Amino acid sequence: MASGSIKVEKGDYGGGGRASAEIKSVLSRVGVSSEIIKRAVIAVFEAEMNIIIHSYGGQIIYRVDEDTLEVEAIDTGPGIPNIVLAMKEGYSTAPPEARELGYGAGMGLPNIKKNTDFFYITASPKGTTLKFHIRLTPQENFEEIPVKVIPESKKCKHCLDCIKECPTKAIRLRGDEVKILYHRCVNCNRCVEICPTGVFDFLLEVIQPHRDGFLDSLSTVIIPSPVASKLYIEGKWFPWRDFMKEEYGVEVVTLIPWDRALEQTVDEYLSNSDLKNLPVISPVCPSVIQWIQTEYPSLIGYVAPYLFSFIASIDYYVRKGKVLYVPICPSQIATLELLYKNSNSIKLLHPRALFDFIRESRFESTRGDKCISALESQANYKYAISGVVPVKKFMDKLEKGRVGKELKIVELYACYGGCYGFPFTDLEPHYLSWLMRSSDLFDSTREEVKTLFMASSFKPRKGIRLGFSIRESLEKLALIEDMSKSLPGRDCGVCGAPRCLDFAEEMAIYNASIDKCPYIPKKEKES
Amino acid sequence: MKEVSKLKLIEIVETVDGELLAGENIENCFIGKIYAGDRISDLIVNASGETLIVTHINNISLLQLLELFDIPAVCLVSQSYPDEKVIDKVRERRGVLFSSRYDMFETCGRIYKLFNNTP
Ligand code: SF4
Ligand code: SF4
Repeated sequence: MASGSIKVEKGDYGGGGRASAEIKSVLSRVGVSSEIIKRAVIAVFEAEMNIIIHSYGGQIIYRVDEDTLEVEAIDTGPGIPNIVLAMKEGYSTAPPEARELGYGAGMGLPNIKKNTDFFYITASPKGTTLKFHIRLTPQENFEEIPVKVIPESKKCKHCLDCIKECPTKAIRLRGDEVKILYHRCVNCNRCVEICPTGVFDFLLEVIQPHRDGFLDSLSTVIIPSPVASKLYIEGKWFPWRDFMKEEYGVEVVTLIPWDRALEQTVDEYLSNSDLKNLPVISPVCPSVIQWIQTEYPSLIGYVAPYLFSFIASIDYYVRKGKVLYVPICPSQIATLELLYKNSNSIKLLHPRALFDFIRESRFESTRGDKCISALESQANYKYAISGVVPVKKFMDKLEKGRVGKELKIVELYACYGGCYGFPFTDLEPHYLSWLMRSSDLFDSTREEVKTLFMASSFKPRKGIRLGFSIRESLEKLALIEDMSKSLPGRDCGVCGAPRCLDFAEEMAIYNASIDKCPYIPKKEKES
Repeated sequence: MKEVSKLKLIEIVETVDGELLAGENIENCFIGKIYAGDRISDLIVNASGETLIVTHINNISLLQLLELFDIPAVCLVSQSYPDEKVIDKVRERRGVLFSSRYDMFETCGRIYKLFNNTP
């Protein structure tokens, strides 16, 4: 691994190009192809000039490992007033002296975006950070998405619930083995949630943070709100934040302000762009995005090109020191792995481990009497739950006493999207509901946007190749089709695959035996 | 941008009545591509190790371009001359730099014509 950092001065037009030259020379020495070097030089050069032209000064930091060049261009302000506009080709706020030299074409950020594989900006009046990755080995225009769920096969009781419930049909039972197909799983948590015997878990070690030295030299702990809600114990909030500050000198923060910033930024995006694809899908859940990348690539253009709020937050705090993050789903772990695979400054803690730790700290802490009650102000907060699966979940929890009395009103709808989801319409119910309410739109004043972030768009996921060559793949495809004809089409799942078609694939590619199908008479199987 | 299969640089210099500021033995120089423009962002995207750039830019920015993108030859327009520093640097890199007698429009027109008459 090679790395370095280069200072960039404000207004130093003649010095521009130093960072790009250094990175160029490193890349040529490690033998990267000339096309990729060119992409890197363009992107770094534009980033350097950006600092020189638009900021009070800053630096370029880079890291090169065997497959990625990672670059950060950090300046100390004054920020980018409108990122959406800045990303538009031809939009520029460069001063006249820069234009005289041939700069200020308004192509800087668009050029960076075009020449990088991953790119984002965060900007506030305190400074702007551009970060980008360039893959050094030629890459197809696809994303490999890591799978961060792991099954423990020996706990499986073969109820077949998971193979039916997995939204992307990624689970197979092969004999005694529970198998997740790595090109299909979208890290959604569904199997973790549904399996009655707890076969699935995050691919993350459960450790004891205070015993295993995890908290040493840490500066921030970031917890998503659902995790933070675990601090509400026996009707009171446990002041864990103060406890952590005193005991370990660590700052505990939640994602709430970052979630808000994302909301505002997406609003901004909507009002500043002439968007073709509406509605905009706000990037709140990485699993949904991975699902889109996997099964709905045509919807990628609908996703607002912004950073997930948890990434934006981690990225912010990691500048102050080591960060501990508690991921709430495997898709967050997967995203972090894609973006920070080389970082020693980000540690992940399994939520289960955190909960144990909180329980223990509460036990040890003398703060028990300082616990705070919940606010009463949201007394009439109303929640709508729709679709039989979510409603069933709600009623199950209510029956078990897992819903607090603070929640005063719930609306439960059997149909997805409420009554607008009644079966005799094919329009999307939320759209219908909007349509009916659109006469009643109201203005809401927005707070000042504190942090903006924008990222490059997502790419479709690489699917599985059936064979090594196109010819072989086509043959396999024909074979699958052929084999599926011999199956009964009942999609019963007994064979361990969710549908007959999936089982045909199992037979064609993985040599599964047709014996597993209960509907094929014995003598036919023999023939 | 014009992609051509190996053009003789000397013919281009002659057709624009160019004054050679840097470059030796250019009789044997060939280029593969021509790009005209004044915006750095366009130049860096479109230029490569075999491109002749036609441009008004005659200042330090030009130097950075030559360095970073291995641009072999530059044609300045309207008889403009860069700093000695720039010329020295081009010489040092064994690049070619010349200044056309004509403005951008005329320069490009002449070069264009030259290629369209070349079979
Ligand atoms: S849900 Fe799946 S993994 Fe869990 S017990 Fe049932 S078949 Fe096995
Ligand atoms: S995490 Fe979701 S997509 Fe992945 S195997 Fe489990 S249910 Fe399927």
